[in-house]
Amino acid sequence: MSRLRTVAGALVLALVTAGCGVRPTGVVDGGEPAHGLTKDLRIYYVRGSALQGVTRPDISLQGLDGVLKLLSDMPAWGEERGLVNLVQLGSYRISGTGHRITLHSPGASFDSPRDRLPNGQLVCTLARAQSFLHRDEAIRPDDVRVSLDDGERTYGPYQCSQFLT
Amino acid sequence: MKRFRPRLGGLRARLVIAFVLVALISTVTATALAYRESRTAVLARTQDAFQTDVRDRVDSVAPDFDMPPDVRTLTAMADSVSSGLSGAPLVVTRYHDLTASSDGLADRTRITPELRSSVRSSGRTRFQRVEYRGRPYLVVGTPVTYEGGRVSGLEVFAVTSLLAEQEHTDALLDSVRGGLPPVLGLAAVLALLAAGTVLRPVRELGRATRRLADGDLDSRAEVKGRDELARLAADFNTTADALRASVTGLRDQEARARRFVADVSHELRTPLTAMTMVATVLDEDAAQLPSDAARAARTVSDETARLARLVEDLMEMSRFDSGAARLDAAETDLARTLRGTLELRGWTGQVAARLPEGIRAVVDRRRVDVAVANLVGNALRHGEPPVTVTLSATADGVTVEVTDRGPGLPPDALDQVFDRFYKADSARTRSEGSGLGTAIALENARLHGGTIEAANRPAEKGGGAVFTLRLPRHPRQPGGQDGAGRETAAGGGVR
Repeated sequence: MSRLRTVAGALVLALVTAGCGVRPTGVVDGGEPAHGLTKDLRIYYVRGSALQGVTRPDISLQGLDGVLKLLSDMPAWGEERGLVNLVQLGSYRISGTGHRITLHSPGASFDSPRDRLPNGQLVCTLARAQSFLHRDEAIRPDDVRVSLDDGERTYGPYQCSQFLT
Repeated sequence: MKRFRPRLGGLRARLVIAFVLVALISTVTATALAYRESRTAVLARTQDAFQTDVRDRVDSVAPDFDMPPDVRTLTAMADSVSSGLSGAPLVVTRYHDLTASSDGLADRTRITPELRSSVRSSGRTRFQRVEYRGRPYLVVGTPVTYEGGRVSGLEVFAVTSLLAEQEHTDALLDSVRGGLPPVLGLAAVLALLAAGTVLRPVRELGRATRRLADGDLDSRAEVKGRDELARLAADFNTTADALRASVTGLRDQEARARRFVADVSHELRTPLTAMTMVATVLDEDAAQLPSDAARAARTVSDETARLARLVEDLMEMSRFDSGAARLDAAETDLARTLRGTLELRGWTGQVAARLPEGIRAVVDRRRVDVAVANLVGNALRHGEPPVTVTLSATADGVTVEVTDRGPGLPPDALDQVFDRFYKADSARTRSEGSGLGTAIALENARLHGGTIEAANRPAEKGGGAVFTLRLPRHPRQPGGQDGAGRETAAGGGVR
């Protein structure tokens, strides 16, 4: 009898040591937290088939026109990261204040499906720049509505989030 | 081959049980360890991957997230993080009191208060495995900081199912369960084979030992191989050799001793016969001799007669010892025989005989006479009158009971009374008897296949010794009834 008890004990011990199934745990450390929140100026480019924002913390911006110059003037490391600028504008002008702004660029193309990514670049970059320029007024980038006017027709208004998903 | 008998205490059963248990313990232990390692590896891989995915996804979404958020942007972020993760897990975003979820209907209790407080207080990514409705889930929580590490108050929790991992580890257990019976069966078969190789020499050794115990001194075990069992068999053979040598030596000594006694007895007969004749003449003439010479003559006569009886007894014992004694059995009227025994020795007046007529048995009349005469003689000599001889019979045998009313036998004498030269009263070493009477009586009874028992009658029934001679009606003695090898010794007479 005592031998049987010993064997049974050994088996139980083995099973207990192993435990069955996926057992619940306490709270376990998983390393560094996520990061990336920013209030700095972000310029949007295209990577693959999606928009990719690039933070430019060292830039001092005077107006919305300036941000489109920055957009066309992508730094060298942008290409290294696989970023592409699809925006091609001739003359342009930006009007509007607060939460509503309009980009006027006669002759530009904002309508075809191919224009979705450059449109997104423009909308998100301008919205972010507007929020950055008016950060004292707490204008949130996603609250900014951007319209695109090619001289014949006005598209929009758009929100940046429409192009980010 | 001997059929397998499942006796739990047998060596074979114990070997099989031990083998199976060892296999079972080994398998279970190895499996348990392998299972634990496998499960740990699977879970660690899944947990690490999911944490990395969540963090990367939050990292990529966070730069476009507006701070401070509202419920709408929190929901958008939760959706965005969830859609970017494989399996679209439940993602919950929190900012102070605001909470949003990628699935508004999902139960958020899987995110435990401990995890929430730990994420908030530690400022690091944390995870926890929980069980929800019987299924395992992994919950990862991470605070989201500003670039540069500044705390934002935004937290993201992601919940994914670990059901696939559980099924993976369960499958491992299933495969073990399937593999266990063949392993145990194999262990049992191996145990049976091992038991066979061990038990065969043991059985052989047991057979040899039993043959030796039955008196076959030539019994030997076969020595095979060079293992412990072979050495044991060799030792057994050595022991048997030594035993046979000892027994042979003892038998030779005993035979020589018996031959010596027989030879001495035989050699004494002739001078004793002459002495007896001379002593008889002297005894008859004693009346005419002076008193001293007459006493001497009578003493010589008595002692010569005693010596003659002793020599006859010794020769009788020699015949028993050498196996030369044979029954000369014939249908006999026992009452008449016993009456003759008493009359011949002149005991009729001293002994009360209860001898019912008609009791017959196939016995050696002379040997029955010798046995009963010895018992009655002893009773007359050592016991107190009245001495009684009672004959009775059953369907199988006859009984002759000789009783007296003396003090009985001492308790320690009951077992020794039939020993040769045993005398209950050691002071009476010169008593009339030789000390061989009861031994000869017992040998005669045994020759018939019977016995003699000595006992004391309880004091309340009068006391005294009781000797009971029991003889079968038909002796089963080889050669006893056909009279082969019969010898013609004179009767033992009264001692």
